[in-house]
Amino acid sequence: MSDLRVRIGNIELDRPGMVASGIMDETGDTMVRMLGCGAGAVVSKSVGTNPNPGHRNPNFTEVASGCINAMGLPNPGIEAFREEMEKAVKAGKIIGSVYGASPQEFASLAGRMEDYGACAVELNLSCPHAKGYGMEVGTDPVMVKSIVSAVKDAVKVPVWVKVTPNTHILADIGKAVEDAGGDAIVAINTLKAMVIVPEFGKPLMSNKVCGLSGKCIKPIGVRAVWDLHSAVSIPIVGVGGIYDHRDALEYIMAGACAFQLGSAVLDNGPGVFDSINRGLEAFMDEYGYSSIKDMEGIAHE
Amino acid sequence: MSEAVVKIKSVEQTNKYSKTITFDWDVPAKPGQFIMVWAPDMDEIPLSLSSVDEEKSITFKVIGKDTECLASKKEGDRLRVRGPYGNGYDLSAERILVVGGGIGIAPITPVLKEKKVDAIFAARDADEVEYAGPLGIKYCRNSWICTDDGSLGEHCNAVQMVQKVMEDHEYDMIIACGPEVMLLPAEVLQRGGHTVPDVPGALHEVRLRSVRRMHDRRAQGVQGRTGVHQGANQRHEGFRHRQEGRLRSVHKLQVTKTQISVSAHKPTAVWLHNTIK
Ligand SMILES: Cc1cc2nc3c(=O)[nH]c(=O)nc-3n(C[C@H](O)[C@H](O)[C@H](O)COP(=O)(O)OP(=O)(O)OC[C@H]3O[C@@H](n4cnc5c(N)ncnc54)[C@H](O)[C@@H]3O)c2cc1C
Ligand SMILES: Cc1cc2nc3c(=O)[nH]c(=O)nc-3n(C[C@H](O)[C@H](O)[C@H](O)COP(=O)(O)O)c2cc1C
Ligand code: FES
Repeated sequence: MSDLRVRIGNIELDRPGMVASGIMDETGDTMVRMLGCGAGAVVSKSVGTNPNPGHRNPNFTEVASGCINAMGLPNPGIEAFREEMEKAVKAGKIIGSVYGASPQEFASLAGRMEDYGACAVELNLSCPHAKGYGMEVGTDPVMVKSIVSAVKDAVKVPVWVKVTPNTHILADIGKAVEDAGGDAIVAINTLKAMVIVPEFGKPLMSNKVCGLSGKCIKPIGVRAVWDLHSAVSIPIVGVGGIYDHRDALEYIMAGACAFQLGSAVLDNGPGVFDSINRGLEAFMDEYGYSSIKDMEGIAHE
Repeated sequence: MSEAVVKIKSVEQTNKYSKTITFDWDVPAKPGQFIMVWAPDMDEIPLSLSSVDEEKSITFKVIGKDTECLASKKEGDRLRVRGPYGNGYDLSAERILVVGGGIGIAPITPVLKEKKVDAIFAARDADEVEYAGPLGIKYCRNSWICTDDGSLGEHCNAVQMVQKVMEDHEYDMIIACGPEVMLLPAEVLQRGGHTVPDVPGALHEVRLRSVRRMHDRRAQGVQGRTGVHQGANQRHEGFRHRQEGRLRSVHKLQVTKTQISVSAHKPTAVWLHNTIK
């Protein structure tokens, strides 16, 4: 029987798929529910120091083969998020996602997530539409290195770094994470995008610039994981347009040891985890792989 | 789900309180589903379809800036729509009673065209409910009207009317759509049993907004999670809650299966679509 357990550094998961940050993970209750749906872990919504209402709507829409969002990191702030985390961590593994503008801010937020019981922290260095945050701090290798170092000094739990595909120096960013002692790289966040409504002659989103996710970004995500696999030796978690087990396998064979799902959960509901798990098991049985690890990065060989 | 920019075919005053906007949009839709509507000068808002054919319509009450903006639209103006979202009503049961309260009458009208059912139209006064009378006569097996002020039909509220009707009628399912006060007696909100939401996009959007509101309130120092706050909390995380069970007595309105869509938009005020089985 094929084994779906995976390790990301010293974090062991019973199932290889996680809920990506920002999808059905804004509250303790939703995180608990997602854990019951075949996800190996849940990454929380990215939380900052202060409550943030996010961008006005329209801030979400579907496009051909994808989703567009410019939520603008709506969240209740790290203090109020305690309650949500404490509820969620009782039900399973929660990775606490945080965003900040400086190494000190990231370090203090990560410390709080650790206190709340997060099994790891994920640094959002990749949101494409929040001024002063996300990819604005995550596309400079020097900044990335100092953020990751500061967080590593502040917490004992593993530090994962979520990177943006909106850069031509992804490998350098990956190396900066590794050099600073980062425990894993999560790739990718959304791609910078825009929608204009010709009839109105205006951008659709209130924030104008938004992030593209879903089916259409999978080839970009797979390539990002491929490049990172060649550049670093720390674990890589694949995310971007995974809808079925074959999508997940592409990421794994490009070099990911586990994966996350965002848009697919929105489109197809949380049942998608169970169907991917079943698909993976059937595939592994048919092709003679006994573990996910056996398939990790094999496309490079 | 689809998205489109549609051209308004007509804007009509449905009654004293609400307007109906009609447009052609060639997507399949079921009674009970809703869409997200946007134009440049407003926020995007959820509205139920009051007609689900190729010619679609939305019927809404003007209660704030966005519905006001929508009400100012003219024939030929454009709207950006996406959807439809939601499960729609489950019309598989044999004997169905639909109950529409106030603006909640609009989303249940497509049901009448799809299936021979009994219907109760409830409203504050004659002005709000008059337009439904002919629909009942044209499409329903039996239909009843009631008003809070007795200006048309029975002088009672929707819940009392349901009780009265059920004294001598039996149903396998009740579908109700209306304001919170109308659905609260059915103990809808107090019951747990959430199922997974199935309204991608809009759901996410609506839910996030609600979370945001809740967080705003917390940020403003609203402590605890009682009363409305508790309700808001339940709602934002479910948006669509479902309850399983069976209708035991026809004399008692017992909620056994509900599908609630809530305007997460405003946790203090709710818009509900219910399927009570
Ligand atoms: C799935 C769904 C389907 C809906 N279908 C319809 C429909 O078919 N017809 C229709 O008229 N409305 C419907 N609504 C409600 C509609 O979306 C709101 O009335 C609208 O968003 C109000 O926007 P506004 O800017 O005009 O009002 P705002 O300025 O935002 O609000 C004005 C006042 O009305 C109150 N209010 C706002 N929304 C609601 C609400 N949903 N219920 C009760 N009180 C509210 C607010 O608390 C505020 O006091 C639906 C909502 C949902 C979630
Ligand atoms: C509505 C929405 C909200 C998101 N919020 C966050 C967030 O708060 N933090 C984050 O790191 N990524 C966020 N993301 C990005 C996703 O976690 C994921 O990286 C991206 O959507 C690509 O994966 P997918 O194609 O499976 O959706 C969000 C994505 C969506 C669609
Ligand atoms: S809000 Fe999701 S990454 Fe920006």
